[in-house]
Amino acid sequence: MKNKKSRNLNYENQKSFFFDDFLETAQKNKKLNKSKIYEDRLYVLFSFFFSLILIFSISIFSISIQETNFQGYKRTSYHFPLLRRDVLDRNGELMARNINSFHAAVNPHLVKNKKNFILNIQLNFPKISKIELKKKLENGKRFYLKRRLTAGEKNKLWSLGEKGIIIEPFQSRVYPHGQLYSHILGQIDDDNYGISGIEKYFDRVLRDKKKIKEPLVLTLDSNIQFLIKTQLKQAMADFDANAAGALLMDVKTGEVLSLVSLPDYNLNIRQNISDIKFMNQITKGVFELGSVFKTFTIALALEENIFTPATIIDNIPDKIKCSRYTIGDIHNFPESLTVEDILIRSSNIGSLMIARKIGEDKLKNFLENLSLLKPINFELEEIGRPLNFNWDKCKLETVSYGHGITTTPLQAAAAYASITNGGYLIKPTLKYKKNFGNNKRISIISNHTSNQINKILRKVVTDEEGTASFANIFGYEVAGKTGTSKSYTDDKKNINTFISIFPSNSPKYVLLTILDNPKGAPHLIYNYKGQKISNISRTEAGWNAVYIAGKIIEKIGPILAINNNEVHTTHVVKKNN
Amino acid sequence: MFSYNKKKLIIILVYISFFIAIPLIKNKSRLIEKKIQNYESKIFSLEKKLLESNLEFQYLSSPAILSSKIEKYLDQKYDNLDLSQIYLNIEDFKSEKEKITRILINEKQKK
Repeated sequence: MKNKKSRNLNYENQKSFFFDDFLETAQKNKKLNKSKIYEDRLYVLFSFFFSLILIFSISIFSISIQETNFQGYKRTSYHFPLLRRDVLDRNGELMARNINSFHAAVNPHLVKNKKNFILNIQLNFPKISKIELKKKLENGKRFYLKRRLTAGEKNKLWSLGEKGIIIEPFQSRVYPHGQLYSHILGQIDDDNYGISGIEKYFDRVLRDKKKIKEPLVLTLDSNIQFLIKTQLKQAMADFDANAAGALLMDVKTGEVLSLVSLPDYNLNIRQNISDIKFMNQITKGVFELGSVFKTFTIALALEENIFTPATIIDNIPDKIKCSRYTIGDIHNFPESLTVEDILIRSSNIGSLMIARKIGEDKLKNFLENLSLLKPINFELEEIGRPLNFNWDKCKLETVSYGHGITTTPLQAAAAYASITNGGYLIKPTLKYKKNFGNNKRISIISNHTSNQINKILRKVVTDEEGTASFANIFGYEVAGKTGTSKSYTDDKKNINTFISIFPSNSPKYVLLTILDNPKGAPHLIYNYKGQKISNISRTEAGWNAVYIAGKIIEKIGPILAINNNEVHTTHVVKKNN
Repeated sequence: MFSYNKKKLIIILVYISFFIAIPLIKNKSRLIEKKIQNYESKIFSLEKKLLESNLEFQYLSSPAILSSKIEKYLDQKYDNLDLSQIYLNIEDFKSEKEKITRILINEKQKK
């Protein structure tokens, strides 16, 4: 042991070159290691602080770039999460918007002095029943004092300083145009779900959270809608009609610019409407439209090259017996009429004879292709279903002049648009798109036939024997066809229709006017072929539906022409001088 | 040895400067955040006002309201513009009027 210890001591005291060096390096390494640890710690601290600064600067940067852009419509923000999108017309006018509204609820447990409370409510809201309020307070359950408060009412309740009154926020839908779009926009329920009209059809689209700040744009034009509604309302009063409707549509795109149905109702007022006359006459109403169907019969005859417009049809009888029915005309016509005269004068027997030449299958297919016999696909919930019928005895004959066949005015107007726009099918729509007409065109008749029909329809308005001379408004080249028929529910009532297109040399718009059981208007002064006449009690479409269509075109024509920048280029408006 | 100490000193200085800078930056960023929040709330209220006035404008400028106000407050009766009175630009208007003047002068001269 001694030897070992002494040996170790000897090693410690040994001053050989090798060992000395070894010790120095070991010491140096130790120091270096220590300093590296310090350095690492400092680096860690450095990176920690650096990352902190980085985080702060990133947060400041991100806050700075999240600047609210209140100039653009899309980034408008509200104090409450929107539940439904805005609805705009084609010119950007607001049609529907959600706003923050309030209900006033009462928690009876928080009301300390009930007598005082009742007195205060009585002073500010005299319409609220004192007895009922007392009962509800005694009941102890929370109840609504007043729903949908106005700003004034809300302030009154706040100023009472009553703890028991709870001002409850909710979202309500506001329609700035009130009654103007009652049959189109529809309404929503208390939970912001659409229950009718556009609100129901586009319910999912309007509730889409991703697009909540983008408005839904419709094809409608508020100014035109108002002008048409004003004229139609006047017509309803003048002709003492039960109901009325009008539709203006672009013949090339199917865009509906105006859809009016009267009587209407205020969308901002919740009311229970059960009377059938408040239904949408244009889309839900299913009518026998009468002579407007003659246009389809003649168009098919021309398309099939069975006749030309100038073909003379001889030996047209006054009456024809078909099964147990006797078919005749209202007026007496000459025995021989050209095909175009049959349409101009609106001869039932002439149309019937043409239809017999065409044949049942072809006419049936043609009407099916024009989508007249089945419910139409349109962006409203209120769509009528044409009545089913069998093509049995006499059906071909009666259908040829529009009897025994029903459809909606919307479908009839769309069929007219398809026939007069050059012969391709269009689909009526309410949803505005920037580029219409990129879809594949389905041809229904040739361009040649379409032009022929337009010329004949123009003659219905301009010809002395035509039935629609009141629609001959200077500068708009109006063409069209009248239809006077009996209501299928009550044969004492008339359904008068006029479907017009303008300008006839290159149709752009189709306007349909319909009146439910119009009466004579002896007080009106008609401008009949250059003469002012009054005391007229006639009830055919030419004396009411056509008259009102003329008035409407006179009003909306300049707007349509200006909007389309066509005043001095092609058609629609021609200068008087 | 000297370089090592220098390095250490620099790191410590940086550390101290960070130590001072961080609360300063943090406070500054808080202030900026507060300002941003203030501005945002101002923007919100302005936007709310804008939306409300826009809604009011849309209501008051709707064709039905305008026509009722015109009927109520104005004596003038507003009629449809005659087609011949519609011009898209001043040049059209001028050329049209020149044409009419020429016709009228010719007619006068003939008389």
